[in-house]
Amino acid sequence: MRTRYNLEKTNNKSKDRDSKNLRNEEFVDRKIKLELSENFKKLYEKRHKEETIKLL
Amino acid sequence: MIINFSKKDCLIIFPPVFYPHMPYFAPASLTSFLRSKGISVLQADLNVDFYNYCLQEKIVTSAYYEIIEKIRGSEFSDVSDRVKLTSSPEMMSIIELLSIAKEVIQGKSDRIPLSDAKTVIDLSLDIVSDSFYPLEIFLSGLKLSYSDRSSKEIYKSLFDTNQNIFLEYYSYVIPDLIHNVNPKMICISITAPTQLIPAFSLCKTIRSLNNKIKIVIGGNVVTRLKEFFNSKNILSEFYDFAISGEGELKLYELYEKNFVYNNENKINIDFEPPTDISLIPAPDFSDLALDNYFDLERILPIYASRRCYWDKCSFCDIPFGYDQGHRARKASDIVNEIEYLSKKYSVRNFKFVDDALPPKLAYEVSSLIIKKQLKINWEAYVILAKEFLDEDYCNTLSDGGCRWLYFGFESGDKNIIKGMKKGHNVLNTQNVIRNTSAAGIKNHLWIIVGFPGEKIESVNNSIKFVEENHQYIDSLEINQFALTKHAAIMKNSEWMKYKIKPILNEGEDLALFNDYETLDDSITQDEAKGIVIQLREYLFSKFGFSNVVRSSNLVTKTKNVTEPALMEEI
Repeated sequence: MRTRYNLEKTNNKSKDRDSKNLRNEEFVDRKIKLELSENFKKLYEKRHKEETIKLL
Repeated sequence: MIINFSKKDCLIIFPPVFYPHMPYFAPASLTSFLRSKGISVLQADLNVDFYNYCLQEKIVTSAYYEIIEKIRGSEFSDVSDRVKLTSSPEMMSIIELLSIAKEVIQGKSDRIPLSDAKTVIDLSLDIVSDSFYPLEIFLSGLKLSYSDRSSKEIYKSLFDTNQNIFLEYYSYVIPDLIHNVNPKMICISITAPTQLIPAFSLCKTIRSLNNKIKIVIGGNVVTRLKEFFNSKNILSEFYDFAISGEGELKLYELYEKNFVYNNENKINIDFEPPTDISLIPAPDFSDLALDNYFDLERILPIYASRRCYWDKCSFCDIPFGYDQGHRARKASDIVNEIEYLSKKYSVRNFKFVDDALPPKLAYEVSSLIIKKQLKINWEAYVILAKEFLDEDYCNTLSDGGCRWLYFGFESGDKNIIKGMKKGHNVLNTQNVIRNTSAAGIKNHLWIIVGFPGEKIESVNNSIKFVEENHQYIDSLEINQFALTKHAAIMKNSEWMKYKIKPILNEGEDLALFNDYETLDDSITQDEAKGIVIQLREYLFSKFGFSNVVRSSNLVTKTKNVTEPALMEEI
């Protein structure tokens, strides 16, 4: 069984725009770089190149 | 603020899976209409909620270890590249970045580049998918081993807890929702085939919890398949009513008359004519957590008209979803609504969801936006109309907030365009995209390959057009021709004139388009498929187009973000 999940949690209204902007400023100096091995990248690209699902 | 889960008369649900970048229009419109009639309603977007559910660190971590366990227990018959990817130790660093990636895609942080965030989200969904192998979930779609073109297949999927992730998701969400809201009626909007299995999984879950609640299904897919859904069928046990066409007044009637239309076969539903669209209040998004959608800024859907004003294209069956012909709203009503929604929801981005925004109305709306000095951006699906040949017209649209236009270009060959009954002139297209580009409006073009009569020469004319005008094209999609169920070409054996013959595959009772064979020396269905792949590879790598459709380019591109947009379909 997965961890208990509540709809309420993800439907909580996010904080307003002002508080969001504050969070952006807070993060501005803490950039992160995604580093992946070549083999991993190849597997990812192979899988997602075939992503041709159409919704409509 | 937490959604009010108190008792309501009606619960309106938008089920997974659909693009989760903005709220869907229809549930918000139904909500506001029913509320205006005094019916208490709760609107729940379970599509965006489902993605937020899947993209929790604890869920992805749990799924990752489940995959490892399955490999150890030899539960995968073949450890393919797919599982090698999702069981890789490198996934741990992906999971660590998940919450940041989600914040980046939802416009709440910029700690990693958007393209990296998209990769993290893709990979996290891969992990969740593989814990329900062979399920595959993307931000732009869904794939199961069960076909959504067959009612029997859909029925079987409802009992497969190994693959049907929705059964598990609903088991966490629906019991509390039903218990607290305790509605008399639950309405489920099914807009895309990818929502069919999730929607019927939802119906089954609701039925198992409370079989007294009336379940009403509707939406574009139900409308296109109304003969099936309004007759007794293998899925009938999971719903009470199927409503086709425009739903506002029909739902109201159904509720007010206390479901007297009910009968075993779900037929003989005699409804009032559809509502005058000028009487439908502004869509109501107040129940939705707008910052939980997957785009960099909030976008809201709005409409100026119902049903395509052209409505003649021989291959298109989109207008089939409406009860009446083209109806347009007043420009002043539209702009007042934009102003109201913009203030109420702190939104500056709008997407017109009209089949095709009428050019005169687009001009009137833009002029009013300029007059009112509204600071908004909008995008719309449009026809390659002659109005775009006028530079002043394009400038007015741009000044009025138009940032992206989506054109059904379809082909660079005049004979193919003639057969499609598109009504536009191929020669003018070049000037249309040049004028709109000069005015600061970006564009997306659709190309269709394999329309009846298509030959290599006509495909070459499409390629030539793109090569000659690539600097004016911002986004491009190349699709294979689909023989849709309700298109004009299918009516009265019209297909015979086009030298093709539909093939009806046994058991595909929910197919929205048919396979076909060509009766002359035109490109066949299989050949068209191959050409589409080749063309995408050639044109996309040569000119670097981003292939984004039916979601939105508006926010990403307006902000000059250079990474691939969020909802790719390649």
